[in-house]
Amino acid sequence: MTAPTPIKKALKPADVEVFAETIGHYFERITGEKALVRTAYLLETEAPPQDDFNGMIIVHGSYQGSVCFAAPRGLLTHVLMRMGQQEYSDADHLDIVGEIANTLAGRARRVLGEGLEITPPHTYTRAGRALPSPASGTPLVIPFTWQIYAAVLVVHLDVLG
Amino acid sequence: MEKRTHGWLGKYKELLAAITLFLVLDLGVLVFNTFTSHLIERDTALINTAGELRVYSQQLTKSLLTLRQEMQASEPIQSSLAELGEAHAAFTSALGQLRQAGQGSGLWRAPMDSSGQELLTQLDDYWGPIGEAAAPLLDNQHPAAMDVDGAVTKAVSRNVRLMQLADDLTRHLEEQAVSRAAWLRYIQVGAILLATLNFIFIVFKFIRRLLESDRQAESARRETRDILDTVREGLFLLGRDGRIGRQFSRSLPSLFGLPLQGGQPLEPLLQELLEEEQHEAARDYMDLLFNRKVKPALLEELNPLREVALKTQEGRRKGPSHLAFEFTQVQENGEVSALLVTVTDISRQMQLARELAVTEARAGSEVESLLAVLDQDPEQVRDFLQAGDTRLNLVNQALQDVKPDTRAYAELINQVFRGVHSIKGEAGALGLMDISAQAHQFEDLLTPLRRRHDLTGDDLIPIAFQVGELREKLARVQTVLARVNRQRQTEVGASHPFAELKKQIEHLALKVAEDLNKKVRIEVDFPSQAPDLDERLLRNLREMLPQLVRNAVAHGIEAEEERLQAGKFPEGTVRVEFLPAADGSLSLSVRDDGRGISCARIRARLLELGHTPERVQAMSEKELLACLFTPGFSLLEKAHEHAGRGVGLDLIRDMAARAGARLRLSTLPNTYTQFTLQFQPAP
Repeated sequence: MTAPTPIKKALKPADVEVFAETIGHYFERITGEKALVRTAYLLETEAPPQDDFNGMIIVHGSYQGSVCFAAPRGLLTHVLMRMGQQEYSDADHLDIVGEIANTLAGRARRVLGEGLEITPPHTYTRAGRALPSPASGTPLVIPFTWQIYAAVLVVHLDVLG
Repeated sequence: MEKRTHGWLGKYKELLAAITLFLVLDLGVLVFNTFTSHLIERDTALINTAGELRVYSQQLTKSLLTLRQEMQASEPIQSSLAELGEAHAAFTSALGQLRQAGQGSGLWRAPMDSSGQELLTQLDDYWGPIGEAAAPLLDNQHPAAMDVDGAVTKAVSRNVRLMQLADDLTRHLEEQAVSRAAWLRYIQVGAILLATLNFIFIVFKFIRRLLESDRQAESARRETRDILDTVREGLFLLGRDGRIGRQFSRSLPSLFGLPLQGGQPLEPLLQELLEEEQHEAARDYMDLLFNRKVKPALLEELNPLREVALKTQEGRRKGPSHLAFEFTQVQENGEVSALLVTVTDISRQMQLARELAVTEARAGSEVESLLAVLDQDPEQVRDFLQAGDTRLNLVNQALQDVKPDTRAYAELINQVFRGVHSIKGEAGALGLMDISAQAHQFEDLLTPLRRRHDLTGDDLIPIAFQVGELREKLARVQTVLARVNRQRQTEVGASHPFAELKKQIEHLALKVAEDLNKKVRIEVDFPSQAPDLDERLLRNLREMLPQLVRNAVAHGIEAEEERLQAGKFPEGTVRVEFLPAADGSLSLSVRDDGRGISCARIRARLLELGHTPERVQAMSEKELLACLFTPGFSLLEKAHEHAGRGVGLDLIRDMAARAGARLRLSTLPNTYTQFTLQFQPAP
C-alpha cells in the first residue's frame, strides 16, 4: 500500500477548475479553438510530468505550492503560427508557456486572493529543471487536448489559511 | 432650537451689521442732502437779497430825485412817495434779513464769515444816513423841500458806494456759497462712496457666504454619497409610508439581487425575497417599529430578520443567500419619523457556521470511525484498507488512461461507482462510518453523472478530488491500525476466521436497521468448524456478505407499521447461512422475511423511469427480476445512505462472476427474499 498524503485540506474543485478554464480560454482566444480537459487524476509518481516546454509559478500565502503548464513543441509551434509569428525558436516557445503561466498567476490572484505572493513565471525546457514546490500534498494532473496534441496542467497547492 | 437660532444669528451677524451700516449711511446721505439743499436754498436767497440791495438803493435814489423834481414842478408826489416808501422798506427788510443771516442762529443757519460781516457793517453804515434822511419823508404827505434835498444829496452821494458794497456782498455770498457747495459735494460724494463700498462689502460677503454654504452643502452631499457608494452594508431610510428613501447605498440592489429605485415600496421587495411566513413577521415588526412606546431593546430582541435566508427563486435572483436586517428608529419631535435600515450580507458567516457544524460532525465521525478500528480484527481492517487502496489506485489509473470520449467517460463513472460502493459497504461492515460517509458523499457526486450522456473531461476534476479525500480517510485508519497492531502484537492468536465476520454482519444489520428506523433480528449460522477456505474465497465472502445483508435490511425488511399491517411480527428477521456441501462446494444464503420482490412493483418502477408500457408488459418475470441487477436500477425513488443507488446487486453479480459463484434469487411477495451464492470447490 502506498503512503497517500492528503491532496488538499480545503482546496476545492472549483479552485482548480478556474485554472483549467484559464487554459481552455487562452487557447480559444489565441487560436480560436478551445483546449479541452481530457481528464484529471492524482499524481502517483514523485516527478511531475514535464514536456518540451514548461512554465510554472510558485505561490506563497494562504495558498502554498505551484501551478505548472507543460506542452509539447508541436502544440506551441501551432500557437505561434496562429499568432502570426515567423520565428519558432526555443525562446519563442518558452515565451508562450511563460505567458500562459503568467495568465494563470493573474487568475490565481483574482480567485484565490489578492494577498498571494506569486513568483514571476519560471520557464524551462525538457532539459531544464522545475523549481521545488513548497506544497506537501498530492499534485493533481489535468491533461488537455488541443487538436492532436496533449498538454498538462499540474496543480500542487496546499491551503494554509 | 434656541441654540440653532443663536447660531443662525451668529452666522449672519457680520452681514446684518454691514446691512445696518448701509442703511444708516443711506439715511445719512438722505438727511445730509436735505440739509444741503436747504443751505443752498438759503444761500441763494441771501445772494438774491444781497443783489436786491443794489436795486433797492437805485430805486430809492431814483424815487428821491423824482420826488424833488415833482415838488419843484409842483406836480403830484404821491407816486414818488409811495415808490420811496417801498424802496426804503425793501432795503431795510433785505438788510435786516442779511443781518439776521449774518448772526447765524438756528439749526439751518450757518454764520456769515468775517468778510461778509464787515461788508454788511459797511452797508449798514452807508445805509444808515440815507435811511435816516429818507425816514421823515415817508410819514409826511407834504415833505419839506429841504428834507428832500438833504435826502437826495445823501442818496446820490452814497448810492454808488452802496451799490458797490451790495455787489461786493453779493459776490462774497456767491463765493461763500460756491465754497460751501464744494465742501458739501465732497461730503456727499464721500458718503455715497462709503455707502457704495459698504454695498460692495455686503455683496462680496453675501456671495462668499453663499459660495461657502454651497461648498459645505456640496461637501456634505459628496461625503454622504461617498459613504453610500463605499459602504458594504445596504443602508436606507424607510418612511412611515413604507417606501425606501431617495438615497440608499450602492450595495443595496446587489444585496437584494434586484433593481431598486428611490421611493419604491419595501414590502413587495420583501415579498419577493422572503418566505411568506417571514414576510408577514417582517411586516408586523415594521409596524411595531413605528410605535415609539415600544422599548428599543425589546425591538431588537423581536427582530425576525436578524438572520434570514432568502428565496432562491430557482437561481433567477443573483445575490447573497442570507441577509441580516437591523432597524434603528429615527425620531423627530418625539415621534418615529423613519427607520434607518442596515442590511448585511451574512452568507459567508452562515456558510462558515454550516461548514463548522459539518466539520465538527465529521470530526466526531472520524473519531468514532478511528475508535471502531479497536473493535475490529486488525487483519480484516488491513485487508479492507489494502483492497480499498487497490480500488482507488485502479480508479486513479482509469482516470489517467480514459479516452476523451463520452462513452468512455460513462463507463469510467460506472466503474468508479462500483469501486466506491464496494468500499462503502465494507467500511460499513467494519463500523468505519467516516469512510462509509465519505464514500457516500462520493456516490452523491457520481449519481447525477451516471445519468448524463454529455460527460466531458471537466466532470472528472471533482472525481479526482474525491479519490484523494477517500484515500486520505483510508490513510488515517491505516495510521491508527498500525498503532493498534503494535499494541496487539503479542495478543493476536489463532482465532476463528468467521468470528469477526459474524460480528461485523450483526453490527452492520443492526446499524442499517437503526438508521432506517426498522426492527431486525439477525441470525448467522456459520459452521462451527471452519472449513479450509482459500484466501480468495474468504475475501469474496467479506465483500459480498455485507452487500447482501445491507440489501436485505434496506429493501426486504419492512417498517414496523407495514409489518404489523401485513400480520407479521414487528421485528424482521435476516438469516445468513454458510454451509459446506458434501461435494466440497459452499453455499452462502441471505434470507429475509420481508416484503419480497413484487414484479408489479418492478413494472411500475420501469414505467416511472420512462420505459414504454408495451415493453414493460411484455417482460417476463425473469426479465423483470434481472432488472434488479442492472447498473443504476433501484426500486427506491430516492437514495439514502444504505440503498437506492442501484449498484448493490450489480456489484454482487460482478463479484459472483469474478469468484466463479452462481447467484440465485428466490422470492415470494410479502413473505421472503433469498439470495444464494454457490461457490465451487477450489480445483
